[in-house]
Amino acid sequence: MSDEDQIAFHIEVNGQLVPARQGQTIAAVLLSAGRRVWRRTQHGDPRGLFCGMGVCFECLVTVDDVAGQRACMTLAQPGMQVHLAAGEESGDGQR
Amino acid sequence: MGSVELAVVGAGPAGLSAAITAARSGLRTALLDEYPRPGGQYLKGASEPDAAPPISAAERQGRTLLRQLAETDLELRTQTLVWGIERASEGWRLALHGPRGLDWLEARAVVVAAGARELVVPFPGWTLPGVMTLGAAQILAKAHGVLPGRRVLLAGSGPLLLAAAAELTRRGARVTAVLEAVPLSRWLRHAPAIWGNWDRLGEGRHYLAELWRSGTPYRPGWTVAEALGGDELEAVIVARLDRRGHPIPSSREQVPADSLCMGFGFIPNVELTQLAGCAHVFDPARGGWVPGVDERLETSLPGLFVAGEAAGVAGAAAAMLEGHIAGMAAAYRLGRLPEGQLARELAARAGRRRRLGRFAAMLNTLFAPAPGLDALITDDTPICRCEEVSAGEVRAAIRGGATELDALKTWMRVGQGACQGRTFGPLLARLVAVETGRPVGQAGCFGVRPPLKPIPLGDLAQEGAS
Repeated sequence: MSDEDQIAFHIEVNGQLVPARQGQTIAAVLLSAGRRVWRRTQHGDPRGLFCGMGVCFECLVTVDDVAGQRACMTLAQPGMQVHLAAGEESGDGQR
Repeated sequence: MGSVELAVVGAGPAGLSAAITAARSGLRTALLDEYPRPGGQYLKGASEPDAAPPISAAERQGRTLLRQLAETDLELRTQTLVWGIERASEGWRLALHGPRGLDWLEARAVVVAAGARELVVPFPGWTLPGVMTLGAAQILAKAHGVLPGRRVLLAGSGPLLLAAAAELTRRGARVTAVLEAVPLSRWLRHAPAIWGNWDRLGEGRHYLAELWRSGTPYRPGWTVAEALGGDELEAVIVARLDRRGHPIPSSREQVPADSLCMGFGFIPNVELTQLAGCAHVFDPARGGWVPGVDERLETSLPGLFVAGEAAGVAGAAAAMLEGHIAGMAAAYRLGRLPEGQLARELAARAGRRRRLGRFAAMLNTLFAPAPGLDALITDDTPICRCEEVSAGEVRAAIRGGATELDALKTWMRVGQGACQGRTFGPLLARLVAVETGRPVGQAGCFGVRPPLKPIPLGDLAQEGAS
């Protein structure tokens, strides 16, 4: 998929700008930015993308202050703010 | 609350086909899907500008359906979850949740085309980020141009394993190996049936040839035994399987990988038909629990039809054929198609339907996870990812007398989380079967209740107040 063919924009992930393209899910945007740990369970175990088709609810992220959105089922939109509750990731979530 | 004559749940190959057929017969039709775009998993990415040319007749037909959808007069509602179904005075009432919150839709007839999900086998480390299903990886690559990782290992069995491997390789991933759990000896036992259906193996042959050209190692009789890593996947332990599918301890070797994609076939999504209350049967040759249907794909409840993988795993070609039949049968049921014409249409397609059904049964049997694979689910493996319950705890509960899935759900919390047991329910039934020595079907399946998937509490409260 060449960048020229697709409308490119940015979304914010824990306060950092991350490139996205129209038609990409939040899951695809996060993985292409190299982010794989998206949240932690009540026991502190890391979780990220698993089923990729809306079944397992492992990929829950907060989108524009609405918690519990499935990253694999939500398309990225310009200006979207995504928050990952993954805990001690370095350099983000501190602003 | 809106009302239509026909509601089709799921806009994959079966649902597209059913909705287009019905709308063209004059039925006021609504087509509902949870995802933002129609097409289902099979056609995801098919309308992207850089989509690869279709490699099979089924894929071509699917893309044609997507084009026809745009020209068909029907109501397409995407990002819309159907979370409940009940009888209404004339037909059915569906409970929806979409971009505008809660909604209800009345329909005189319903076609459930809810598709299938992947069958996954748990193993130690399967919850680590970096481990995902084959379908997840395939969609990332095909529809979004994103690779799941830099060093990718694929494991599981069945046609999707090859399709995902070929897609990832084509997109430039470094696929270190493709582990097909089914050994060559089992392939050879099914050789006569495969030989007779050579034309139907088009996609599989294409993918295999692609893998061959790329030099990707394809190892039949091997699978993943463990995923290793701290916060993310770093390596995978692979193992050879013995004739019963049991991993051989001395064959274990460690392979570096930052991505592991796995899947062992498909399970029909039957939650909606379960909730509607129609009869279901356990049929491993069709992927597990499936609703009972007649020749017209009508369930035991009048006006409730099922088409595609939700009626039994049989692939996209069969799904589109079934969707067409269900669309016509619904038109007949609502008085828009004379019985004679329906009978002629059914007769004209009976042979092809039978052949596709037989071929699917063969594939489902050939690639069914061998009993020994349950040995991958060690006692310390979390079997329920949502509630974080280990297989050891579950096995103890089974030995303690909880020998049905719903008993385990009440006792152990398994299946009470957000996925409602969809991810591991079929495997749990196998654990019960192993511990009790009874057939898998006797363990039952998780009971369902609305909402079928989580919906925001705030929306429910608002609805209650208004």
